[in-house]
Amino acid sequence: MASGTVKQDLPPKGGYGPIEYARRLPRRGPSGYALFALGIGVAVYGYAKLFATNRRRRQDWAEEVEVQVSLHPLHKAEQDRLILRQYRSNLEEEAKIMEGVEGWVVGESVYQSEKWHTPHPVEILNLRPREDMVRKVYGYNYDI
Amino acid sequence: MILSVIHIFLYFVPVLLAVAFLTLTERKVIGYVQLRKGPNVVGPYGLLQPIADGVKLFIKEPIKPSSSNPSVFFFAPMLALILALLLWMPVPLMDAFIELNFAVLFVLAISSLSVYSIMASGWSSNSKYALLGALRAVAQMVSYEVSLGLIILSLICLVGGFNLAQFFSAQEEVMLMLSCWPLGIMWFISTVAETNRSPFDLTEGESELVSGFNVEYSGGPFALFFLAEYANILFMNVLSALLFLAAHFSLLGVAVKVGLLAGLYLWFRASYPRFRYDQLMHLAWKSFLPLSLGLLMLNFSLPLTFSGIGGGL
Repeated sequence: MASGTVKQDLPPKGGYGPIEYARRLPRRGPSGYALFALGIGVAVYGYAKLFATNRRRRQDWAEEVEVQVSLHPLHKAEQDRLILRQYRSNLEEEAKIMEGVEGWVVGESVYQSEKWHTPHPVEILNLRPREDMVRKVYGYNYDI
Repeated sequence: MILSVIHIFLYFVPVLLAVAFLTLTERKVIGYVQLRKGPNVVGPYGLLQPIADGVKLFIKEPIKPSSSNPSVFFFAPMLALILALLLWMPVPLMDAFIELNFAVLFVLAISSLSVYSIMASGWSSNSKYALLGALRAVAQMVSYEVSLGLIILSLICLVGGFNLAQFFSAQEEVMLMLSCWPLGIMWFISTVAETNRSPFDLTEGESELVSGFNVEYSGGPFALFFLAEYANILFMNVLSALLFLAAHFSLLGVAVKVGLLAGLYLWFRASYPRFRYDQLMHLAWKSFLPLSLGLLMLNFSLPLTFSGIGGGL
């Protein structure tokens, strides 16, 4: 038997090393710290820009309110003028309609006091086309 | 009078058309993801498929299960579609149908109400599959509404108002996705879960619940549920674009952003396996709720600290 020449297949001295079962993947892309820093950085940039926008928005709004406050007297005066004009034409119309009625006083107040009451839009616009009245009474002002 | 009726139709018909073509897009995209063609027979490139589907569903007989509660059974799908279309009313694309100062609250309220349509349909079907599916759907939607509400609250602290138009002006320079990207990601995942989409579509779990709360529905009522579901999906994408992606530059820009988000929905559906139910609940209550609460504290205090409180228009 050639037992001296054949080398038996045996484990290395001291046994095999531990089996490498752990996954070894190449590290790809930026590190975790870098990603973390990137995320925080983007958020900080976003907040800074957002707060700058918010400050500008507040300034714009203050300007808008200023404009409305300074235009308010003009607006009120125009409104009074329109109401009075419509009121007078209403009175003329009333005189025409109630011509033959006995004891009818045109423009008589329904109140006991002499105080001026600004007529309600329904009352003022009752003789106008219906669309005008609807727009005035039920129209909604979004801006203020 | 006639004009106002036409106005309503001009508002809803495009939404329903978009929904119809979203279903076609979904079938096409999932088809190509799975290396097949998808619908390509009806009309050029299968473009008329949704119309054929709709006609088929509405001329089929709506079957009433003999043990069901008919009034609730047929009321539920109508409620679902009405609520889904109502959600679109305050969306300020081009022009809002109704301009609400509390549009965000309106959206939250209406989307919470849509839970009732699902509950009613599941209960009135008088079938255990439908009931279990409805229970799952309701629990899931209620859970994810919590995180949706908290995320929206954070954004409101930053923007300074409940009006959707204010989100436009606040995002004129940078989109909110930049500053609130963790919230944005949580929001998007929550919208996926809120609309019961895959991978959170436990309500339809084919292997155990057949099809969920709508097993017993066929024909027209099923079509109403289907339309409502996809209208909700599309609406959630529009809302995400409005809230996070600064969708105010142009209608085309909005369309691109909404399309990308809808594409992500389809991609999710094509790629991910379904969640387990306990994982779903843990995601809502153990991750999203604490995170969004913490970020709410941050987003409440940061504008105060750096004098960046929003407001005005």
